[in-house]
Amino acid sequence: MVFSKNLLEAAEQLKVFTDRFVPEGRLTGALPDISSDYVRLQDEVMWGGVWQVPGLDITLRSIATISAQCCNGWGFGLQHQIRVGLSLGMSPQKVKGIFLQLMFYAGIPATVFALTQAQKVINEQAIWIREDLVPLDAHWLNTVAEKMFRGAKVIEQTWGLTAQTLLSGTLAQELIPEIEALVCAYNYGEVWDRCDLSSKERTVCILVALMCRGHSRLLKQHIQYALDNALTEREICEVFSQAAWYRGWPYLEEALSQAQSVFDGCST
Amino acid sequence: MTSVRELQEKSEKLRAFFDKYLPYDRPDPVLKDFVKVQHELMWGGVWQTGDLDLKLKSYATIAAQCVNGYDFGIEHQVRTGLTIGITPIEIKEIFIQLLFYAGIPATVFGLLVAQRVINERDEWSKTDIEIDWDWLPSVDAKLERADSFIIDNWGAKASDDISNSLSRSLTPEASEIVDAYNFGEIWIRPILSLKERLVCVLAALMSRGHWTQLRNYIDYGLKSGLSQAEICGIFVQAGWYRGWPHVEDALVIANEVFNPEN
Repeated sequence: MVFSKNLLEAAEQLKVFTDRFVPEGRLTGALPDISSDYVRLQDEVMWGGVWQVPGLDITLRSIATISAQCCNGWGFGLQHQIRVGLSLGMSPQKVKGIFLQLMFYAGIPATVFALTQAQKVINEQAIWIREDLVPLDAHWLNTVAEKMFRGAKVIEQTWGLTAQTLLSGTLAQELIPEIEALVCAYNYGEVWDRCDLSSKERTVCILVALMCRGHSRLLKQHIQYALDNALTEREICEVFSQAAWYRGWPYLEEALSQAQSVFDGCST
Repeated sequence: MTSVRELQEKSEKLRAFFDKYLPYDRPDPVLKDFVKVQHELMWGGVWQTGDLDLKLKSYATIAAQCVNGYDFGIEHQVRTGLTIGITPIEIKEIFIQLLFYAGIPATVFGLLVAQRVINERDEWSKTDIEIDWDWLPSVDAKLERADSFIIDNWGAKASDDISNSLSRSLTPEASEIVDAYNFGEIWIRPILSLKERLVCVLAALMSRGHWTQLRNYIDYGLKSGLSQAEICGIFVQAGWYRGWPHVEDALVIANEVFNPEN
């Protein structure tokens, strides 16, 4: 039987670890005085509960949460979760990589804003600043055609040929072919090729962004890609339950019904 | 026939009341045609039409603003709620109620803004005292209380819907904890009535476009003492603050729930 005090203890233990770099007087520091019942719910259900449910690695939970906060767009929420991610051991480059990946799925304004928040947090600690200065080994290609070629290879390696056929023949390719080609070249041929995130981590970012913005049809497609790409059914469900907590619980049911239909093999 | 003059007068009267505690002069209108529509249609019209009483309208509006997340909007509507006579503790409970329906970031932000407004006046901050809520000690006990709460108020079918939800089967650990705390603690806290809680949740679900769940909660609303006219009133009020197309979509669902045989 799970007691509230077990959840509270679990929360305390995790928070000692994730909150060790929280600066004095941060914005939500006032919350216990505003509503201690709210803080209690947050501690027991969220930090003691959802964050520590088995089935998904905690770094992937952190990436899911940061992606949801990016879609939300609240400065303090983003800062807090970026700090948690860095405290869990993610590198500054990895955190920034999340927003690079989300550029195509959450849009420019949300990701520009998130990057400015990330930089603020990184600048809080000397060790993060130092790590942030280590250049990332990215090989930018010179022409769009080369990027397209590399993108096609990335797609094939990550999801097999099925995805490649699915990705061709989209409405975007039919109606706005020039732009779609550019987006695919830069998304798959450059961003996906970077070493800051693994393809599993990229998949988590995308699933969360599609869920948070309510893009059900695309979500279904990407759940299938996720299964082809080393995420288990359980991991996919847990990604949704983690992110839903930061976006609103009702999003979960919607995402899970898409997942269920893919798991049952009725995806088309 | 309603004349524009009438709407303007009603708007003036309501605003004199609502703006009583505004800590600054209303800024000069940036676009006076916009303000005109706002006065006549919103303050003179939407806020004073239909069967939903003023307090419940305020709950629906604050819930919609919580989902929106604009600092100024939440601040203004929290102040309006307090002016109408909603207590600081009731205001904060709106955000606790929305914890699971609008998510952590939206409700933390709402609470931070609410506190700022509550601190504007002594008479508000004086009554800003948390209740001493007796939390059940285990998740199992909470789940048991949750189940009897759901059956007592919304019937056995609701209980089935909730305990057989996809989240309970696919992400069972997290979902059990969420249902236990949501229905076994939050929903039964005495600070807000069942009806008031449903106003908040219906407004939030509509604002985020969760149509499947809206359908269930419209049914729970009817079983919790909200009339059909009141439910439509919630959508109109919240829709005004979230975007009118949401009203149309919500009313389609409501109509299906109201007339199941069609």
